[in-house]
Amino acid sequence: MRDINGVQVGERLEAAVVESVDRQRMKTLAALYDDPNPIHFDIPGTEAAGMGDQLILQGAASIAIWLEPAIRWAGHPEAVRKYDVRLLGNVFAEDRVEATGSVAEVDVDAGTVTVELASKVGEREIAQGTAVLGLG
Amino acid sequence: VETTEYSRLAGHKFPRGEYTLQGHVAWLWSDSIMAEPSTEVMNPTLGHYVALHGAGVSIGEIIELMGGDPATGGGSMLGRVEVEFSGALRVGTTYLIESEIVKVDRKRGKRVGPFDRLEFVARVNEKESGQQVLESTNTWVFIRKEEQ
Repeated sequence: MRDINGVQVGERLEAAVVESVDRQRMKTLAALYDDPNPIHFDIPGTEAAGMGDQLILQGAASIAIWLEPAIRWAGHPEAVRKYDVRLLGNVFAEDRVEATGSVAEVDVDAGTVTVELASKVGEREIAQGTAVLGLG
Repeated sequence: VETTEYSRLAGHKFPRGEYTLQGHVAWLWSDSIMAEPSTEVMNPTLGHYVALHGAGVSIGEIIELMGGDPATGGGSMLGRVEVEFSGALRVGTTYLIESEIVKVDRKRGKRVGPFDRLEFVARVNEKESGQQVLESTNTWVFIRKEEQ
């Protein structure tokens, strides 16, 4: 786990990139999630729903990609104590998604760091929000 | 922001759910979301999953409550998720989950036209100790194209 001492507001987190969103993983996730929405597993069903001709990634997976810079920077997934994220756009199968972040607040007494995170596909915004990391 | 015919759903409590997180589910979840798969280290998005799936409320039920057809998705999208942990999720632990619909309202977007927002809150407690592990708030958006 990262040491909170020395963490500076404005510090950039290393970006996390998914080079190509995998449609097979979407199908597994739809089964785990018990999600009947065809946009996550069936291209003809996606077309019938008027949502284009590519499978659309589940919001939970978009959130996971958005959170990844914070997890890697903190050094452990369970450092994440809180997250609050808005989903602004769809991610499609085979999209390249990049997530970035920076330190917004450091509370040494509480042992927490708040980071601002954002993810994009090209210039298209996908997710934005904050996460609180426990580093104490 | 307006009320909608579905605003009456606010305050609807779902039956308490009981859920034991299994190792293969934790592994498959992390693999499916393109994170590091593990049966020991829990990805934070599992909080969202346990809160919803463990509550015994399916996404299809939420869509139906909002007048949509689960087989077509009913124009639904996950719009916002907040998860706050007060403990750690663990494989093999049994959780009790209490959940309710907190709010349903209607907004209008320039691009998408009218849409309804449903806010769902679930609290996850360890069954044995009674300690709260997390609280999860999901907001779904339902596009109302037929009213444009």
